[in-house]
Amino acid sequence: MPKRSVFLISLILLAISILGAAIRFYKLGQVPAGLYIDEAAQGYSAYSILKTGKDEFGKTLPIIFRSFTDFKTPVYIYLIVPLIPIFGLTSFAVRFPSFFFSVLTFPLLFLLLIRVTHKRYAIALGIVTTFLLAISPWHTLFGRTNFECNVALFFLLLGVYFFYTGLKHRWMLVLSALMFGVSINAYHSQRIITPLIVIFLTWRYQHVLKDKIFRKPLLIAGICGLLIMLPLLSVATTPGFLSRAKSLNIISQPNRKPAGYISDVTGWGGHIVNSSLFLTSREFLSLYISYFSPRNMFNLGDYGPRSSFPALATFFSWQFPFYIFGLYIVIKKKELGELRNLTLVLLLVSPIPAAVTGDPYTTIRALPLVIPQLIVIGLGIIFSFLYLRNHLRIIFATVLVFLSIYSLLQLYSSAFILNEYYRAKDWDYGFDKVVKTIMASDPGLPVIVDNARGENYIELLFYLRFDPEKYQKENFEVPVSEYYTNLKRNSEKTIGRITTRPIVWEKDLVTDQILVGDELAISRQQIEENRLEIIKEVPYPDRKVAFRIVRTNPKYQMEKRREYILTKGL
Amino acid sequence: MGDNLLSKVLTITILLYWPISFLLANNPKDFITSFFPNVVFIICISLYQKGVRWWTAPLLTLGLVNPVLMIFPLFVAAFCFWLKPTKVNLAILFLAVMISLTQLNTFYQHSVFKYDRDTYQRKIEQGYLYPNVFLARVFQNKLTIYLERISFNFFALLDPNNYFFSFHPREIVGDNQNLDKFPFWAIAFLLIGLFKMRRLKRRDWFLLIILTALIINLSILAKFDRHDLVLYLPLSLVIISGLRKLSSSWVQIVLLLITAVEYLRLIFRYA
Repeated sequence: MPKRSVFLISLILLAISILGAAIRFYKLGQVPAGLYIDEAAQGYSAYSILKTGKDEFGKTLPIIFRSFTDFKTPVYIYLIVPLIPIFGLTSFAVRFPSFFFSVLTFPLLFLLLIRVTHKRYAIALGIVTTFLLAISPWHTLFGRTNFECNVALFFLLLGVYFFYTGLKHRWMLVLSALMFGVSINAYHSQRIITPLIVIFLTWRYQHVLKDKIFRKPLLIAGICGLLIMLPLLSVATTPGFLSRAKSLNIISQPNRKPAGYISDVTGWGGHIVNSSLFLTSREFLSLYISYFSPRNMFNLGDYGPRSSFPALATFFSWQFPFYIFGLYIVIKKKELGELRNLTLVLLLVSPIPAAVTGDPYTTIRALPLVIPQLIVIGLGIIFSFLYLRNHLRIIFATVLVFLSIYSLLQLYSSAFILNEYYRAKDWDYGFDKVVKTIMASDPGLPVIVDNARGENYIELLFYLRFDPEKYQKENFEVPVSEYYTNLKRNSEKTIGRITTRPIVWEKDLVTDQILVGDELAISRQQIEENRLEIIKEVPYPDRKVAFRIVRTNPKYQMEKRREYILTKGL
Repeated sequence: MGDNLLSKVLTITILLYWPISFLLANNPKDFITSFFPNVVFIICISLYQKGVRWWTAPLLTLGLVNPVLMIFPLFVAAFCFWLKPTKVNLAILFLAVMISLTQLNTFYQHSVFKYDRDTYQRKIEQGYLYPNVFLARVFQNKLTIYLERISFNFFALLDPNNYFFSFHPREIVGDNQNLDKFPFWAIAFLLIGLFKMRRLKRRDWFLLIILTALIINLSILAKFDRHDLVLYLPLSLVIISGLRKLSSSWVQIVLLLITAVEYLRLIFRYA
């Protein structure tokens, strides 16, 4: 390829990467406002590792992080550790790895597509698909917030890229194995996706890999892969490792009734129509197919308030005709070669772990699907362009430019305006303000933070930047030796003068202290009845009350109780 | 698939599934009204196969019997006139336009264009969230209300989970019966049938136009549930065309067994 063309292509790729980075970097750490408990938990675990070498439960360098006994994958948390001295323990630091790796995914995807695509379409497909990824609502959301799946996707693609490179430069296979290993360590669903991709690649290129010259690199790659997997394998049979899979899958939950269960049928009829094998297979298929449904992709999007933007699906609706046409091209055009195989295998494999869980269309667990689906849309766009006559091509390109600009505006509208207004509660908005108020209050007063509806202790730890060593000493959940095996929880946490537990009104009102809770925990009626002093009300952007911080009135309580005793003649 | 007994039974089970499901979940009168377009399609197809020039004329009855379907005959008549501008096609188009004009008010009442105060109010409120008037007008206007409703219906009608899994895992609450429409295994044969259409013979074109016109018509309705039974015949034909690729007897037996369970489930669910 002439140098000028290489320069031009690099320039276009750089421009796309800058655009994608700008979309993800603008107000990173501020939007979404608030910090979800999982984000806070990862941040504080990293902070604790940095300060003490142990997580908040006192475990030295955990293989998987206990957290809320959901046992979080380790890669993301360890990536936050070196960022804390630079950015502090902030939302920005916690979300930065996701942003960083999502931006790195752009050139990586381009390089991968160049490697596997026929020369005739390689550059065009690389540019179009990378651009689509840069403006993709699905990828943007996970690139702006703390989600491990985004980092895992990067390492998965890097592993695939090194594998293809390794077919020519055989030592690259070692790097490929390492990247696949990191990917498996980075996110739960990769424990299924990555091995399946590796099996496919090995099977597909077995004729090449059987060659003598590959023996040594393959052996070393295998050892390296195993070494990186070894810590995870060492805990693979523990209840902690299996907790996530056990709690979510549709197959082995004992009390779960599969979709379509008809409850009022008994006897032989019940055995037939409610056959567990039949219904579970049917349910799995329905969940699996939902990942290819245009309704979910272009209209509804993810059902989760944190894994979607309001009024925006995972793809822009104008991309629908290109998706259909692209699917037709992928199936029909055998000359697409390796691109066709890779796209099809990624398409078919990516939704499997997500479809095993009962949740409908969860884009977090199925994130690798964004790549083949964008490739399909990219192919649809390129082949539509190729089929058009010259003068129509200009119109087509102009329309696409306008649609892209509109899409960017739509992204802004959904992510920065509607999401901030309507989804603040889902992002655990307001804890920073709660902490500021507590810090400004009388230091002699104990504080009770109601935790009846969530794991808010972690938000307090995060925003207080509470000394991890002190926290580890004051709070005990399970012995370190039972870290991965004992799933017992301690619901009451002590953070200096703050205690997180459900408010017990009768007991808590007679002590002079500060109570913190949401609108349900501390209602207007309770404030008036008990003459509580409102220290602060933290509102959501839609002005509804997020938190109430009040001071009890024990004097009034004592009087009230005395009067009660007198009137009852007790 | 060949013409063996198993294949015939499978075809019959496909053809009976949605009508039985509909009949069990609704009253016979609703069934007759909703199934009527399929009878009209059969008449049209037989007229077309006999080479009758006015084969689209029976479609005009659709607009008269069920005004919510008036767009469909209009669309087909216009398309046929565009394809073959004959006097007969012009006359049919003229009649379609006339019928549509007489039914316009009823159609409007059942369409997405009907005024809904709450939605308008919500749009106005959302408009205030934007930093400038331009953005507010771009994203929160009357057109977006219609587009949102139309695209909701359009994509729901294109959802494979609608036809094979009663919309599971994302059932429409309240506005839809979430009926079982085809045995779930038939999805494979719908895809095969659609893919076979790539050669686009005359018959395939006919099916595609009918499907597109129907989906457009249904998408404009405020509520497409029950009316979507008009899709029964075109979809069944595509599935049956895909089913012709199946030649293995033991697969046919397995599919029949699964279908038997699906039929039992239908009976237990609605009976």
